[in-house]
Amino acid sequence: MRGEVHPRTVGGPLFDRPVIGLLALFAVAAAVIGYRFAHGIGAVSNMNDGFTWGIWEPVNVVVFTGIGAGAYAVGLLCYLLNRGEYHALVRPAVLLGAIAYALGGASVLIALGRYWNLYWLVLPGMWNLSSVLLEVALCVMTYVAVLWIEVLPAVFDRVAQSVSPKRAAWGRRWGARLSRAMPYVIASAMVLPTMHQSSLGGLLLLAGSKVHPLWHTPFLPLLALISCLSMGFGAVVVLTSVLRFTWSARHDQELLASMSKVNGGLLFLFAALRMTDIALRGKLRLFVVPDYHLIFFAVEMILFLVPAGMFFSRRVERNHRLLFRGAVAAVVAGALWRVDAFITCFNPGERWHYHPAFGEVAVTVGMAALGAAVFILVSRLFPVVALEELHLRAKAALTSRPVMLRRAFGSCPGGTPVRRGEYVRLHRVAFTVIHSDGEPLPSGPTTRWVRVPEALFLLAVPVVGALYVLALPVVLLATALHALLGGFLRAARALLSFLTSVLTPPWAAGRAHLSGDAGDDEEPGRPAGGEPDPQLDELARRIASERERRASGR
Amino acid sequence: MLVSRRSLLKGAVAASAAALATKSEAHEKVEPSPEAVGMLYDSTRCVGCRACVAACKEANHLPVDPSDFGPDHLEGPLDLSATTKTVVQTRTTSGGPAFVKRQCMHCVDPACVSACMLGALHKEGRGKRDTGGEKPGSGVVLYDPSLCVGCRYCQIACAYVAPRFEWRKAFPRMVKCEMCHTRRDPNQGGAYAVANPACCEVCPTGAVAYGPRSALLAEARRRQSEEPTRYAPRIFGEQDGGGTQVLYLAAAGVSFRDLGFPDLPRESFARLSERVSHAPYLEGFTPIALYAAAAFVIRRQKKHSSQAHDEKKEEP
Repeated sequence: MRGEVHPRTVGGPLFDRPVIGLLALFAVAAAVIGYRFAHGIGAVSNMNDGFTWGIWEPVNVVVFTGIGAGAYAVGLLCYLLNRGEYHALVRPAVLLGAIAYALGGASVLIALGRYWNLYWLVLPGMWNLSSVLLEVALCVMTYVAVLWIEVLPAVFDRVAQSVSPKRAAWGRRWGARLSRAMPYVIASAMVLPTMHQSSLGGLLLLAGSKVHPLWHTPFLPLLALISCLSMGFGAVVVLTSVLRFTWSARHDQELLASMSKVNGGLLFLFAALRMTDIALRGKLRLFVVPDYHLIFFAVEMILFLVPAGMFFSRRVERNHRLLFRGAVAAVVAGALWRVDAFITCFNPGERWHYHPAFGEVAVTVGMAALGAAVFILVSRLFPVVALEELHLRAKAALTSRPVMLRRAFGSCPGGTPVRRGEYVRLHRVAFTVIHSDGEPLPSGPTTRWVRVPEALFLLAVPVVGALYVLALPVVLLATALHALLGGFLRAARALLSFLTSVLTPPWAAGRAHLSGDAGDDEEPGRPAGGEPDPQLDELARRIASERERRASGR
Repeated sequence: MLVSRRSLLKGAVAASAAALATKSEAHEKVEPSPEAVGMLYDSTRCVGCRACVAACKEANHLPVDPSDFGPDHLEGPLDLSATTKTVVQTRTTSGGPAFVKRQCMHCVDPACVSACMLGALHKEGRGKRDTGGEKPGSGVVLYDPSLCVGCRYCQIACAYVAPRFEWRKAFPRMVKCEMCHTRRDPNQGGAYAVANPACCEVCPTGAVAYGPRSALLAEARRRQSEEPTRYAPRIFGEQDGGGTQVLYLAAAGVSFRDLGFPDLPRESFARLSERVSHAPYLEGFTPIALYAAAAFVIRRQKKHSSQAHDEKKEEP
């Protein structure tokens, strides 16, 4: 059933375990980044003059933005080809794109050696129009801004659902204004990726003597454009599947399958174009000589062709697991092609060797983790993800029983039916939105919730956000230490208690002990599972009193 | 710095308007300019004394960094680095051992200049700003650190990996041979008014010589025709990768590949890259047309869908 789709705020704890884990990963990256700014790029990486971009640009920029191209791919289908049914996928895809591109941009800032000179980029008079990288830089910078503007409707929706009618009206008014301007924003969101995604492939045209001939071709820009679309479609399918499993988000198998058919066509087109190009340029002879590049080529081609075939199969169309696997393969295919061209099959000369250092990997992983954490936080706070109707109905059924509404000044325990509005849990910071009056608060009665006035909430988001960003290094190091030490301490405590229990087992008469695990000897004398026997109890009492008498007599 | 930031800013703002108005011309094949200067390195004359390496360090105030020295420390640095702008390498080739001097090749159509976002690397006098006394036409590739953002795309682009980066510095620069452009003597005429490479000045055997590229090319041809058995028939840099302003002669039987040079086509990669990347833009027409078309289609469809939506609402 494809009706109107209403993205909802997911709500729930803001800093639950996955988010803290992800932020801890980023904390490691933050430490590396701090060290890099103090001691230079060479201090944290194995980058050298030959492999001068290491993995930061090829992975953090070229691959991340390929994944972020989901916004572009779904946008093309939804807006230009007028397939309105894909609308449900737009918001998550746009958020994914905005995050991926912002992270790509942030990674560039870290990787730039002389970042303080960047301000020249805003002066068109200083532009070297021949530079492919200039085109990429300007386009990506603009596109990051455009993507976050595309995220704004979710924010205005959030305000429009406000409890206060005044603010809700304000949200609706500005939402409508934005929506009138949106076609012009979306149009630029269609043009900009076309430009910079092809240029990202075009970056390597200049390095003709270094890139292996099976990868270097004047078709690089076109191939990069096609591969970004296929990576984008793949990433959206992967994202939707993940959201379904985590938050039981809406997951329209038929829709995803038909979108994947488009992706299958693109993957075929990529493979065909690449092979034709290689054949026409007389490079087929390269396949005769055994060479490790051929292995990478073969793996890439398999990764392109297998999902392409899968997406057209009836079985995969119906099976969401297989579709998910195909989509993962499509993303990996594009990513591998990009990484191969920039690193694996890039040969700057005889003297150069490179494998990424811990610092580089930590930054790349940390950036990806930060992206995931931001996605989770934003979708908990703003309506981005369309939740499954069933899930919503179950939630509504809970609220249908007649209840007394509490005007919640002060805190109230979980499960209490309350007025609609925003609630924050005090102990471990969690956030929920109660959409209608009388809906109960989530979690058990042991939790305490406090209603937050909406104005305060809206004000708090940017303020807390800004403070958070300022305190980020400290917060992150603390969380990382907590996560690392916490695990260590728990393990140490478990080990110690095990050791002490082995060394000094709690003896009990008539029982043999291999170790003194507490679970083994709960309430000795009472047969497990049986009814309490008064005779046995009497015996136990007598034994105990006898033992006491002897102990005191000694 | 001769140019103040303020005047630079003014110039930049004024040039901004001009830049948007001018159309980027299709990249034609670049021929070396008549006044282009260069160096001629004759591998058969080089005795490997490395006086050029020492002179270069002195002239450019570069420190000695023993971390890249060969096993016996006699060779000095083995490769170019952020502290070494020129180096003499000993190579075993199919024609026996040979020396080869490496430094920036000062390409006729340099990939690094095409790559550089703001023109920090630029042909003398053709940059976005004058670093002081630049004369167009010399073809020397100069580096202006105040325009460099440190993206290192030049290193990706350069087939010879000539520009080197200060990896261990918090505030790094790119380092490469600028043909001792700062040692030029305006009172002297000809090539010495443009530059005066210390390596050429100090070379005891005349293995490396400085002068106008055309004269050096003629000299190289003369040496080849006088002693055809001594020299390999090719002059590296005459055509390779669109030509370079530093030319190389090798001994007979020694291939330039063995000397560590890449195999390059006659067309420069800068030309290939700009031809391919600029073609679809049609002088900037394509993005504007695409944008207009996209905006039109999206707007119309939005109108249609909202009308359909309204009708649906009215029906029940």
